[in-house]
Amino acid sequence: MFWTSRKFGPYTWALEESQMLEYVVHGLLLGSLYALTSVGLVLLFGVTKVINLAHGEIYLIGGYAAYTISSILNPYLALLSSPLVGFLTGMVVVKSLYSPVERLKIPEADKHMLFIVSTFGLSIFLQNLILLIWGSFPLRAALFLSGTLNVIGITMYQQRFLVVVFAIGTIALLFLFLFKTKAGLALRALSQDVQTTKAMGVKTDRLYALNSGIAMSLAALGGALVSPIFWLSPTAGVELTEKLFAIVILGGMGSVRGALVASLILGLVESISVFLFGQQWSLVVFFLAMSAVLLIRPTGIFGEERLV
Amino acid sequence: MLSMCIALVIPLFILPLFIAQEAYILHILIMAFIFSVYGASWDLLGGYMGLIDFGHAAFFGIGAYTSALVSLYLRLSPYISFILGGAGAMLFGFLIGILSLRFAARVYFAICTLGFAETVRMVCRNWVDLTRGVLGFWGYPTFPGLSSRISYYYLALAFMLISIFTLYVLVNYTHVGRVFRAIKDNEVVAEHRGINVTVYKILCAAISALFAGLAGAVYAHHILLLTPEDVLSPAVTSLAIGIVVIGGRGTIVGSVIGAFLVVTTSEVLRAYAAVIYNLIIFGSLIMVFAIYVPGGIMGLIHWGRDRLRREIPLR
Repeated sequence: MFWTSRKFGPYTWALEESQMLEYVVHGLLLGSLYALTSVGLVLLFGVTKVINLAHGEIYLIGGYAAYTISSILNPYLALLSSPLVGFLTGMVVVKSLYSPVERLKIPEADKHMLFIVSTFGLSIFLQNLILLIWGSFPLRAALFLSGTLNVIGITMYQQRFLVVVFAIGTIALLFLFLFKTKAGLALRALSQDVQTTKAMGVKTDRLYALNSGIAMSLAALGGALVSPIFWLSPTAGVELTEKLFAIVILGGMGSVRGALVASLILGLVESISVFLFGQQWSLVVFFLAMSAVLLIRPTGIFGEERLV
Repeated sequence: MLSMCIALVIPLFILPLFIAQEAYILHILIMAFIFSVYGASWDLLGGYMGLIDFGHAAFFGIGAYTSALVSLYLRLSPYISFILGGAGAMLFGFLIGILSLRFAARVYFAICTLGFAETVRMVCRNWVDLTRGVLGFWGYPTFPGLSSRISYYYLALAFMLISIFTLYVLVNYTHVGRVFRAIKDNEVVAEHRGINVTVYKILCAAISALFAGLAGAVYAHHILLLTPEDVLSPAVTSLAIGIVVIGGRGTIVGSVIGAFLVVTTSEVLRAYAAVIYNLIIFGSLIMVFAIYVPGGIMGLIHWGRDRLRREIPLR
């Protein structure tokens, strides 16, 4: 088979059923990480119509914060405090970058462009700040749970199981927030029509801050959850940002449901492609998937322009 | 304006007579010339069309690698491979345009170019048979007859002047440029005037990629060593964005000012501080300029000139 040759990857063995299942489980893990982080990106795009190029770096900050806190204090405390760090970062980003642009008297498209360019600056800034604080050597936090788990004949680490459980739980909480609270209602309204929402007496400034805080705390939580599993390095964020954009396009820009489904699909696809071709081609696979979506069905899976 | 430009350009022609032995300073100036064109090509997309290209390094790198590969493997003269490098980048700019500019939302282009640049970098790293991957590609010839640094200086200077002049005339005095600005100002109105917006957007992406690729080719034959990290990494894209945002968007000339500032500042920082601080400062400068000085240095110059003439300020 062509994929078993050395040219396409380091693997020379053939595909076996048990290994296949393990790759599927790993794909689920990746999918839940992508779901957790891409939902934040979708929230940002749905409400403010801008994209955040520093999303991967926020994920890294969450991961590094978890690494530091869990090595000094307690790993579970790290899981609590990392989202907090992300939340604060999100608030600061909106207050210092988004609001000043919002106040300028220039066309809407220009405002978006300026903000997106400034998030690009932010991503370079954060990357090198991380490099300065934690160094370039890849780091990995200690496992929270060291045991293993036997499900339908395959063995998986409890740590990985924890990621999936946490992701599902957090996204359920997010949906509760969006559908059962007044702030969630206001956010959904804001994603549909800014002017009308303002006319209803909603304080949009606070909502933008809250929205960005939630979005970035989700990314930071993702980083904290996988910090014992994946290696953290200052440049890992760029790669994640690009994968997340591919996911968001596959799911349809600004659709939370689409992003969830797309993360699972692309998580599985990545896991299988790593098996077939090797890790170094995974970004290429993501880009090809994105191009295919743009060529065949540019509106994404569900093909509607609504937040949820 | 014209007299000011001439007054600024003439010293650049005479300068090598005084610093002929200072190879390092000549090198910095050559880099500034090359990155002026590279920044101006980003400005064509970002400043005139309102399309943000987050993977401009891909076009720069494709131009550099194409020219180097062609001149080594096909044994063509670098004068021809230089054109082929530009044409190769243009082809990819065209393809990316077709892929992502058919939609009204402009974010697709930003995302697509971001993914494209990283993909090109990964392919370049992993296709070791062709590009030697991270080991670096070298051994290809420079422009024949331009082995001394001073002659290369004049080549880069001529390249910059011709490219900047072409781009400036293109956006300011031709029909195409007027259409570009019309689309940026109001896409819907432009479409109602009977302009095929998509075609012009794709054309703009292709022209921008062409100049980025030519700049990459001139860079390649000056440095004579290409690695994926040097010409294709996100840092190279950030260089283009930084040059334009600092120099001033929507003014082709602004990117020349931006390029000289950025190149010399990063050399000074390299000498007196670590590269990390260099990039931290660079990232913060992009943020600060984008948010608080949206016009860049050209905007500041215009504002100051208006104040001096006691006219009504811009804002």
